Amino acid sequence: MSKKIKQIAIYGKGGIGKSTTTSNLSAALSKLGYRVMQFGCDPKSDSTNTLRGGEYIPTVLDLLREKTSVKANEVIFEGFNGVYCVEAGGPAPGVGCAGRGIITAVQLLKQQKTFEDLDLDYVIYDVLGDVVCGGFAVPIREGIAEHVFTVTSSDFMAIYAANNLFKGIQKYSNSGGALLGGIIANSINQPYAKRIVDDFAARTKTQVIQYVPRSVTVAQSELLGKTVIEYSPNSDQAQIYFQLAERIAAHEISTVPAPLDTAELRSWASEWANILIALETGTIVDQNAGI
Amino acid sequence: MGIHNARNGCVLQGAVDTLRAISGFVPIVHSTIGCSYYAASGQEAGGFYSVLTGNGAVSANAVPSSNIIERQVIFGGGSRLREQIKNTVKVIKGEAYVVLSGCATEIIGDDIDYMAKESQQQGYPTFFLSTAGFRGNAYVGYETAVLGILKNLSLFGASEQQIEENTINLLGIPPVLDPYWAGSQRRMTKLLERIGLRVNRLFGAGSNIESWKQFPDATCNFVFSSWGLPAAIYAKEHFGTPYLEFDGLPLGSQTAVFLGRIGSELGISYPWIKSIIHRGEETLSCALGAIGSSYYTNRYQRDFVIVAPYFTAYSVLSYLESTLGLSNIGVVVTDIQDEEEKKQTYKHLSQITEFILFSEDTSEIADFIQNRNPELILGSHYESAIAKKLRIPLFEVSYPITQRILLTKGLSGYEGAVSLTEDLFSQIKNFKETESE
Repeated sequence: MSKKIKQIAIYGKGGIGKSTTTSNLSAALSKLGYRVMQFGCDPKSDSTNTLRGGEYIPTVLDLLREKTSVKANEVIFEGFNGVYCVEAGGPAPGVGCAGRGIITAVQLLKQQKTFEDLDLDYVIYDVLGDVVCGGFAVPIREGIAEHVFTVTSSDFMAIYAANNLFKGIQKYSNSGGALLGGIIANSINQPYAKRIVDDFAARTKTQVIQYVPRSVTVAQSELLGKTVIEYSPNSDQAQIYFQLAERIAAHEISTVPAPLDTAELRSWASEWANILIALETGTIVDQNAGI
Repeated sequence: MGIHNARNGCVLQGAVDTLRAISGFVPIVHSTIGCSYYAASGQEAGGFYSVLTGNGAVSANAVPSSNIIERQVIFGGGSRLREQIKNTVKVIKGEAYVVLSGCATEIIGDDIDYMAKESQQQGYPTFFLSTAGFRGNAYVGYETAVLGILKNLSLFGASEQQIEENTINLLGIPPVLDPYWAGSQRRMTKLLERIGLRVNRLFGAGSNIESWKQFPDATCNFVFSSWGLPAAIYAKEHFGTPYLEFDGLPLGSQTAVFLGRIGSELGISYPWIKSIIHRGEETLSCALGAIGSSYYTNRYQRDFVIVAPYFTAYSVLSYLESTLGLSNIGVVVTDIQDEEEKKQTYKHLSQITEFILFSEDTSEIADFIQNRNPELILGSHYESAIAKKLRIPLFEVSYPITQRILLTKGLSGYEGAVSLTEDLFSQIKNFKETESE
């Protein structure tokens, strides 16, 4: 009897906290008893860093550069609590084609039936921020990830990137591509930030699956080359990640998002700008806004 | 939009064919495996064997290529190219090495120019031309190659410009894409030399880097198709060379008009030109006289459709109608893409014919031919299916040609008209005999 592996892709604006979130999610899921693989899809190859005590693992493409064929077991490394770590890798900056690199790396593992052999419950693709060409959309094509979660803060640029991602998902939804599981709201410390993201989720017909605040615990653990789950498993921040893991474990049905078009997004943004200004100047009084 | 049989090829193809037609020029293709093989087309009809570069080294399917595979696509192909250039200059002694980009290498942004410059600095005359296939068809490849050489002439220590009296450059006859290019060019060169002009040997036998270095010294450039225009305009702007445009190479009696025009433009004595015209007309008349009596019994007079690039279509159509008395009932112009140019061309063509289609799609062309219902097709090998269906002869006159070997035949001048008549009527005669079996 073959188990259904849940394949998830994490997208979001560069620097928004995808790798941090993904590594903590992987660690939390593994602590909950699941068998997890984290697949970094970024030429920087730093996704699984904090699952490996700060150590960078050899990438799929590094090995392909040397040899013509690569066995899956040569590129999979075990990290914290048995989480399997893979990095696709890529060319040096300014040369070659990183997008093509991702296609090749993902297909390599897919062809070798790696996931079944390892009896995995979860494969999580951590994909780089700027989806500049076809290659980086490969994880959400048919047969790879089924669920996409996008990491965003309340900053307009991150929301803009998330909205663009929704357009891509909507486009691929017709050809069996991954659907949207929801938003992971990162760096949510002020109540107004939460409300902005909630409103965006409502407008685009999706849900926020977790709110993750900025925390010095995250900074400390990363500097030590660890996830929060490893460094401080009883902290409040760790509980946030455990909760995220449980929700994702329970998550079954992803949907087609309803991205805003450029004009709609602009006017959505101005509405919120006006609200924030009004809150700041006291035109509207709202103790809970946090401004 | 799909095209049935991409007869117009890609930029890389045109550039490779053009460069291989110049003795001493060595194209080095930086692209994925297979590009150079397919780009090196046209051997028996329109191919050129460079004696200078020696022993077929840059002929047939031996075009130097970096042949990149997936690894270079991901990590960049610069070092593979460097190696390929190094190996090529060791094996082939050329007067110029031209590094050409393919689709994959341009998509990933390899710094090919840098590799070419590196080779140049090591003492091998090398330059880079951007010829990614996706930038257009093979005619654009021809344009790009010619313009590219002109822009890089300084690499060859081109001497100071010295205008050579009565020297002409012939532009707009694309090697291989015009399968008759070598013969046409040779005949045109001979004709111009007979009226006292000197023609730079830019392509084919006798061509070399010296001829190209003398390109800027010409008194005038003759442009036989719009594909030669960018080079002519460049020469006008940079070397001050005036140019004259023609609707293809003149065939048969069109030669008289052609000679008359250049005679007056270049100030050549009219009695001299007149005597040459007279001799040509006499040759033609004598030849046609010989088949005059069998013209009707052998049913050479037919309704025909011609499918060809404009530079071939116009002159062949005019000759067949005005001199041979055949009746044109349709033209398909296969090379012109620009909308504005199509309008101009349409205006010009509609003065001599009524049914005109611009297309390069074999199926669309076949439908057009079927509707016109001719008794003869002049076209490319791709028209053989519709010719077979309609049970009429197909005379191959445009690229690609597979049924004939073209080494010396040209579609220009009085002699070109005579040999076209010989070949065309031979084919009709033979076809008739098979039909009646």
